[in-house]
Parts: sequence; C-alpha cells; structure tokens
Amino acid sequence: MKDEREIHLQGISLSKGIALGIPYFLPVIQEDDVPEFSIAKGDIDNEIARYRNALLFSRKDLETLQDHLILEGSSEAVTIIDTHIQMLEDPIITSQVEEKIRESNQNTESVFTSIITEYKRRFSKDTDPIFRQRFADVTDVTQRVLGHLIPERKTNMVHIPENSIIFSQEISPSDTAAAQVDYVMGIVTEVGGSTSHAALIAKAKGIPFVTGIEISKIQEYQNCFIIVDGFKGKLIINPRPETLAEYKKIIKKLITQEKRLEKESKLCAKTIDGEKVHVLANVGSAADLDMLMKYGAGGIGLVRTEYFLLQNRNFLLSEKLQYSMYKRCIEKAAGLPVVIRIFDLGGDKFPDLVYYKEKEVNPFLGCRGIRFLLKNQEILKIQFRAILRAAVHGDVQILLPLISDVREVLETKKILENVKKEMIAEEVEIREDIPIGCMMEVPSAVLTCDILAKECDFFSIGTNDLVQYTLAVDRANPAVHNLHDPFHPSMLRMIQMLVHESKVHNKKLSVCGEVAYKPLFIPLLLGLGILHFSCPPRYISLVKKIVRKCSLQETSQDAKEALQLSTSQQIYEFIRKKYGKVFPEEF
Amino acid sequence: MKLVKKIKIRNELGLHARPAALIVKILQPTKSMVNFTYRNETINARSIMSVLMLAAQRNTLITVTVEGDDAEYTLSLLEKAFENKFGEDCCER
Repeated sequence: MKDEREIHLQGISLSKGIALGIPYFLPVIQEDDVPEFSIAKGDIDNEIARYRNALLFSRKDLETLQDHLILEGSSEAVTIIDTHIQMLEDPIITSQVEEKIRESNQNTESVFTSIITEYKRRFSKDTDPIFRQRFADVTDVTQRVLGHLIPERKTNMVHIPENSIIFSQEISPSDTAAAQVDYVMGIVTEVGGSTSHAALIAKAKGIPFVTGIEISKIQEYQNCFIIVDGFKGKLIINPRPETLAEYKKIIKKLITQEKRLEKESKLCAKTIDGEKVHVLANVGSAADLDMLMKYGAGGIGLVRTEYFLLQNRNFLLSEKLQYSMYKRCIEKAAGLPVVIRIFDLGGDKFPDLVYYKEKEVNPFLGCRGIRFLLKNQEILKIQFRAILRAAVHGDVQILLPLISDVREVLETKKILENVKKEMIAEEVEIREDIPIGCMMEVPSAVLTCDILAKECDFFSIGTNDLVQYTLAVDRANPAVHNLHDPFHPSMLRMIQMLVHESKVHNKKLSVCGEVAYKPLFIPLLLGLGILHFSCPPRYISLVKKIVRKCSLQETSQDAKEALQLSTSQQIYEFIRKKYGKVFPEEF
Repeated sequence: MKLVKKIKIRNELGLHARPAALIVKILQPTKSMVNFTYRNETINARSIMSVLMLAAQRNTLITVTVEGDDAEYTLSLLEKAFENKFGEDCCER
C-alpha cells in the first residue's frame, strides 16, 4: 500500500533555492565491471588507437560542456572541467597505459582501469579530505573515458524528463555541469561536500542541492511528489496541500519580486523636461550580467575585468577565457555599448600580483592600474587580443584605468596598434576601430583633460578614487573616513571642468563611481551636465526613478548655486532641503 | 642549465586540484624538465595526477628541480605562482 503521509527529511544544503518535482534515480555504475581479455599482437596498435580515440572524444565532450557553461556564465565550473581535461591528458598516465597495453597484450579498458585503480588506491591512503575529494574528479574522468570505450556504459544527463529531482548516491561534477536547468529542478545525494566540485557547479547554475539524505530510503517513493528546500537543507515527500501551498507562496514571492523589477526597469530615464539620460550597468561578475536586461540597463558602462580574477586566476593569462567572457558580455548587452576597462590591479585589488618583487609602502600611490599594465605588457597584450577578437560581435569600447599623464595613453595606444598588426598578420578576425577612453580619477588627468581629449575618445569619472586623490583621503582609514566627501566644492568644480572640456572637444563623458547611485548626488550631476551614468545593476531602477523626478533646467540652476557655496556641508544641506522632499522614499 | 630550489607552499589547502592544474598550465609553454620532490618522492610536475599524489600540505617545502634551456624562466614562473598562493588567499576585498 502506498504511503501518503508527509515526510520530512533533514539534510545539508549545498545550493539554495526551492524545487518541486518527481524523483529521477541516476543509474548506478559498477566501476569494477570492466571486461578483461587478451589481444593478439597484431591488434596492439589498434587497441592503442582505441584508447587515443576515447581520449579525443572525451576531450571533445568536455570542451562542448565548457562552451555551454561559458554561455551559462558558470566560470567556476569551466575551471573545474579544465582540471578534468588535464587529468584526461596527463602525460604519465597516457604513457603508462600505452606501455602496458604493449607489454601485457591486454585490452585497453582493463589496462586503463587497473592503472586508475592504482592511483585511486594511493589517493584514498591520503587522510586529508581535500585531497580525497579529488577522488570524485578522477572517477568522473575515468567513467567518461570508459564510456567511450564501452558505449553501453554511458550515463546520459540529456534524457532526463522534465520536473525531475535527481537522486543519486553521489553526483559527478560533469553530470552536474551537464544537467539542463529546464529539466533538472533539484539534486539530492547521500554523499557530497560543500567544497565538492559538484556543489560549486550546482550553485553556479542555481540548482537547489541537498545532501546527507539516505537514498535507499527514497526508492519506495519514486512516484511521489517531492519538495527540495535548498534554503533549509530539507526534503519533503508527499507534501500536504497546506505545505505545498506554503512553498508555492514562497516561489510566487520570489517570482513577484523579479517581475516588479522587470516592470520598473522598462520605464526609460527622461527628465521632466524631456532630456534623455543613459543609465548603464557596472559589471563585475557573471551574476551581474544575468541581471542586465532584468534591470533595464542601457548597456554596460563598465566591465571591471579584474573582478573576473576573483573567480578564476587563469583569467589573467588566458586569451581564450577572456575572449569568451567578453563575448558573453557583448551578447548580453544585445547591441548596446559595452565599455571594457582593462585590468585595474594594484592599490587594494590583488596586491599580491603587483607587489611580487617589493611590497609597496603606499600602494595607492604606487604601481596601480595602467602603470602596472605598462610594466607587465604580456598581461596587457593578452587582454587586448581577447578584446579585439570579442569586439567583432558588438559595440565595444576600451577604458584605461588610473590615467595621470598623456604619455600613458600614447604608450598604451602604441601597444594596442602593435597587437592589432600582429593579429592582422595572423589573419585573426578583429575589430580595428575601437574607441579608447580614460578614467578620470586622478586630479592631474582632470586638469589636463584638454590634452587627453586629443588622444582619446571618451572620459569616465571614477568618483571614489577622484575624491580620494583630490582630498588626500584614504577612505579605508577610519581616522579620516568622514573627510571622504563627494559633495566637496573641489569635486563639483572638477566635474564642471570635465563637462566643459568634453563639450568643447566633443567627447562623451560618464560617471561610473558610487555617486552615480547616491540619490542626492544625482540632481547635482544632472545639473552639472552629466547625462551618462553607470552603476551596479540593482541600482539602475533607482537612478532612473530619480532622473524622472528631476528637470534639467532646474537642476542646472541648482548646480550653479551649489558651485557658489564654500563647504561640502553647505552643498549637502542645500541639495537635501530641495530634493529630500522630492524623493523621500529613497532615504 | 639545472636549477634546484626549495619552495614553501603557502596557500591554505596545499597542492590540491586547482593549484596542480595551474602548475601544469603554467608549464605548458615551457620546455625544461620539471620535477617536484616531496617527502622522498620525486615526480614529474607536468602530470597533474602526480602532483596531486604528493598531497603536499601548507607550510611544507617542496624541492623544485628544473633542467633545460629555459630553466631560469620556468623556475621564475613557478616561484611567482607559489608566492601568489595560486591566487587563493588574497581574493577577499
């Protein structure tokens, strides 16, 4: 008789979210179940060819998988699959396998399995759990190769029915990577760690994942409805109507939140007197990219390329990884402009890369931004190559960080031209007419913007650093933290100067710092003549909302008055009195 | 040219999958022969499985032997990677 009671099982959450569905049990593969037989001397070359083919096909699988993962934005998963490719092509294992096939006259699959088993034996000897977790990766790769040697062994994540909750003793990283989010609603396993590659991949893909559940207990419920609560690490079998209603409410709430945002984001940003303002997104992760369209970004105003290093250090030196990431940004922007800022390293960002030889006493005044790149031109060249290639797919612009002198712009442009020449000679398809812009974050750059304007195509104000360098205030230093104030008269004057010069030289000017989404600062910026904003995706609707409540005529009058005031307190009070009432709900 | 140097493992988790993969990747364009010696075991550093087998832990020393025309360059790449803890501990902002 079928049990209809509601059953709660507590496990451990490895990836958040709520999933509703029907169990799907992954077939169990017997690892040791490999045919073993002798081969004729004349067949040895054939046997080795079979092995090499299996490696080749496995590599193709993994590369296809990586392409999908890149599209999904799971760069974490891409790196993990990279280690699988290296395991697959490990020179020691491949030569051992080939040698042993020749010596023992045994078939490939048995030789391969025995060599891997020996490695695994040595792995399991190791007590460190971190190393033992790699066991799962080795098994994963081995199964893939065996799947190509013995075709009937292959598991296939492709033919899983819709609304499935995957149940398995353990799940391999590559199976998790291959799970299609439209079909696989959730994953439940008996064994798995929060640092396991499978867990990291599930998180990256947004699939709820609960572990620590005894799978054999579930077998009898295979036709039951199941809820996976990835927030609480819980499994609910046969939910009562009230429980189901409760979870449907949670899901509905998650969906409404999304929808409200989507609706608001479609409204455009025009001032009361009809001036169109551009609000673009700052992007520093794959997750930001996914939010672009949802929040109605008018393009990407700033790709913080150095942030991609957080997810994957290989990014720095891999043209391939960079190319696919930039291409993804461009595709997400769907024809809208994409401003790629080249690596802004140093200061507080990745100091280890910069201070390799000598620790700097004052890194913020040291080898930062463009200075670091000009000293490490191999890094710069790889990045330029990747950008030039990706740029054929859309409207791309390059932004240079921490410019303080026109010579830096000239030198960087020279390197870019050389890279272009090189690539043209290699017959690589690139885009040649890419606009180059300068970050305006150092006072010397602002004061010489007329000189810089002759050598570049646009400016972008980085307010945080500009405040820090203009007011000589380290914003991470609590003793002077309150002096880090964008309302300072010097800032208004600098912005006024930049607006004036960029009009004279017909250059686009945008603001991409924190002030771009400070409610009270927005009327000031508008009034000073800034019509291009770039901010984190989640602030886009806020900025647009404020813009819609301002009139350009009025704000420019306000800006004129603000410029006459002598302290930041006076400026702040002046603006607060006027606009604190206009959009009170934003505070 | 043959260079031998003891290098300290500074990253928290030791030579696990990601550092091992990074080492293999760094070595790909180089030509020298590269061996790691750890607890009396010497392995070929171009083999990810062999590097993983060492299960070398944090704060231990491994002996790196590099032999070939680009030995100096190869060693400098490795030193930098170890020094940077394979990009692990420094990622928080």
